[in-house]
Amino acid sequence: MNCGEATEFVSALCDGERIPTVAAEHIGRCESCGERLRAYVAMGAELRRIASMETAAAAPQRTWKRGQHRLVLWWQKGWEGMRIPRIAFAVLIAGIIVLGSTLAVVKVRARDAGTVVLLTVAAGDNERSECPLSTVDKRGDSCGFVGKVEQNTLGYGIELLKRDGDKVQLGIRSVVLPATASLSSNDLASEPQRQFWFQPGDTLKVDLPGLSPLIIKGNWLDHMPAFAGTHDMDPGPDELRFISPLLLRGKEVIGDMEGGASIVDKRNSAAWIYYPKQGSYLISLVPTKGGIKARVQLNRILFEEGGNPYVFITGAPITRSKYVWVLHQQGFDPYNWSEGDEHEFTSVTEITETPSGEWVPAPTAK
Amino acid sequence: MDDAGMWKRISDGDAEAFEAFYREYASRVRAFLRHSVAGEQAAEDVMQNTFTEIWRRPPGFDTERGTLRAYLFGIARKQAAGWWRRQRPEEELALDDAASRTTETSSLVADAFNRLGREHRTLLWLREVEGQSYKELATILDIPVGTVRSRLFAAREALRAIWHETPAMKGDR
Repeated sequence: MNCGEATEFVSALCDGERIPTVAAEHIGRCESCGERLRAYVAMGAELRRIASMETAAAAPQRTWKRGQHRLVLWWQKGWEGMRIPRIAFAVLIAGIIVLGSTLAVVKVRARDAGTVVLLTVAAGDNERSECPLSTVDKRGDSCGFVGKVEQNTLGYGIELLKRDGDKVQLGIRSVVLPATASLSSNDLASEPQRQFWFQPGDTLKVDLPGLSPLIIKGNWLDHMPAFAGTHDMDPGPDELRFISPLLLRGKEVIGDMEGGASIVDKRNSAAWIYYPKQGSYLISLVPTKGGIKARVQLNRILFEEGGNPYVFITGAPITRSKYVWVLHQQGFDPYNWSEGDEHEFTSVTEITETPSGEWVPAPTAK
Repeated sequence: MDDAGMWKRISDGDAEAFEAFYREYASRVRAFLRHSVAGEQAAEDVMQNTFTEIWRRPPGFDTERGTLRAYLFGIARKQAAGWWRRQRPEEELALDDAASRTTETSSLVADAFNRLGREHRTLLWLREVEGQSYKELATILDIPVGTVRSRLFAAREALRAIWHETPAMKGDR
């Protein structure tokens, strides 16, 4: 055996493997192969020395907890087949994302004493969300998103943890599930929170498992914007905006979702709103099966149910259409939560047309 | 506790068991990833994603196919590969270059190691530092055991070649 034939066995010998007798004999008497073996051993020892230093620092502590509630539970309570691609995480998220209009957005110079960071969060190729975070008001220090991105369901929540001069510390939770999976606020809450220091003006990339990273950019603002983004006040042709919807029955306020927002921009989508004890309301631009035809007046939707007049009042013009359809499901309880735990929320959901021309919540692929 | 026992607890959602698993391996996985992706923050992120992935989808581990440790590093390797896929080509070149320069534990071998290709770095680290057996490496890399042997040899030879071409090394040896 010569050196060329023996070299691979030198490596195996270094790993404690048994090697053929002829190879062992050659390596034992060959100065070149012996030198190679010593080099391999030295390299391994050096790598272990490096690793000993690199593993000295403990990894950050994390809390591991699996969510108990999933929205799939409430599919079984009467909304079977409904898909929720977007939902406001009302427990975690006090802020609003994707509010329209550039009105009232005043940027301040970088390194100025703004109190609000307006983040622009890009996910995948097409999804862009605006997320204003207050450094002084806890009610406005978080925001979130759930939607379909790159054939997956993505949810994330961003919380402003602290400020240090021009920088802010962001706590970010994210979850990626198959596109057909449902997602609840508890799913996100059970995810570990990763913390990043971010300086407005810079770009932050946040890795996501199996997806392109979130790309976060931001600017300082001198106040919490009433509206953010690029929408104007005039709704688009297939647009339905539900911003801070208040629901009146007669003169009684029966639902108030200050800060919640759902913006529908496709004909096959509907705004979906849940008020505790009142049930859910699906608002669409097309007739839904069992839905009530309702009249639209700028920022109001008027309809009657059970002989009572109802009015939705929202914070912006709702749609160009004169009519929308309101599908009310009384007694609908999405979480089966105990009293006191419930909270209102709004989302956008898909609807699909039946042969009879009516629309129903889209069947969910399992 | 053996792998099967530990995995049963993790699969059952035992957060305490998973925290222990995380405490034991997190810094080691992060050290491995420091040499598999570019930059400290990326290594930290990918490490976190690795554990999150396992926590979220526990059915993935099969005790018949290998050890829990091999499974963990296999997930980490896949996460690192995913991380690289998400980098734009021109960005990858820049990051790869950056990775070759960044080390807090500078030494001739470390410098040579950082100039190796990613696959060689991965293989050598798992073998020399983590002490993964040929069988475990075959599981992690999804290749036959015989290929593990030949690739390890190729990786060592590549490292030795770079080490020897380092000018300072010639004077030292």
